[in-house]
Amino acid sequence: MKQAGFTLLEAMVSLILIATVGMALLDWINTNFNVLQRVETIQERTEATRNALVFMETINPLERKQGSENIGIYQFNWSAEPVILPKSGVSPQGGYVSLYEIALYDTTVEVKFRETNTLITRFTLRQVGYKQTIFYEDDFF
Amino acid sequence: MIFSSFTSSRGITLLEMLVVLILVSLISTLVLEGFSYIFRLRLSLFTQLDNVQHGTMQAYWFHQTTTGLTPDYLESEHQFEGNNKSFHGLTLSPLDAPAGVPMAFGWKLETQETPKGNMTKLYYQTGNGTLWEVLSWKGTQGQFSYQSPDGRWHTRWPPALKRHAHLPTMILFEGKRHQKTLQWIIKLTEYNYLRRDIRAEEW
Repeated sequence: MKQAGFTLLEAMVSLILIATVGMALLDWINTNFNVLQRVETIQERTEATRNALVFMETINPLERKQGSENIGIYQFNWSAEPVILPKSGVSPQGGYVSLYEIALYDTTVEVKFRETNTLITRFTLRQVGYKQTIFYEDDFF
Repeated sequence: MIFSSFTSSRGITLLEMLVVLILVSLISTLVLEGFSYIFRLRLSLFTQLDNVQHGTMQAYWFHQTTTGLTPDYLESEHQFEGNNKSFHGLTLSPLDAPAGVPMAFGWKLETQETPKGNMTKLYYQTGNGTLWEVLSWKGTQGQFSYQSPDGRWHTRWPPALKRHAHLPTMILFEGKRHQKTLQWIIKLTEYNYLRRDIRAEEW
């Protein structure tokens, strides 16, 4: 009686098929891992940006054009380029000279992890700088 | 073959059996490997989902209530006070009352010993003193710090033996989420504002 088992060729074909499908599957899972990792990085960046924006609100670029400050796990570096040079402001009533000199700046902000010194994000921010240039005499009123 | 000559029914050959066994073992290794991958994937996916959904809410609650900090009348009971594990004061956007109503509130860190090790929890303290758990993580790490207008950081507010504004200029929270360090910076706008009690003034 003739044996009708697998031929070597059939076995090879099935093995190759399994290997190919398995590889494709693992590759797909790996892609998902990479995507998740990117999501995590972006999450980290969003959080850092939010903190940097809050911090930059406390910086007056007319007084501190550039600088670096460590807060908790972050290091913030900024440098401001003037877009509109300092000029005296106008009081809200119009026409009168205000007490302040104002200027517009483009501030480049860099956020780093303080311990590892790795850059998390870098962005540009438009900011107003101000400085009081006219002072009332104490007995003005 | 010897075996087939004994019986009339034709069984599987040894070679076939071997091939089947090898195939089954190969496939099951692959499947198990795949399972462990998928398990890890699920785990980190849930972490990410939690970060995105709950994390945003938690950060928003902290930002909203703390940014709304406003000084109380001098000598009143809700003056802003803080140390490295908690602070309390008066806010204009509390979680338990309509925005705009000044309410007593606080944020508090508490470390508890559990069978699984130390757990630190972040609580929101409502006007009547109830604690709402907002965030928790393993370990004892976690603290608040306060920046005075001169740019220096303190672990308590008011800073000891110094003339001070009623509120710090910035409040920093350091904690953890999913065992990763987390940091929220809050900038306060009313730090040099003094709330006058006009009822107490003489006319």
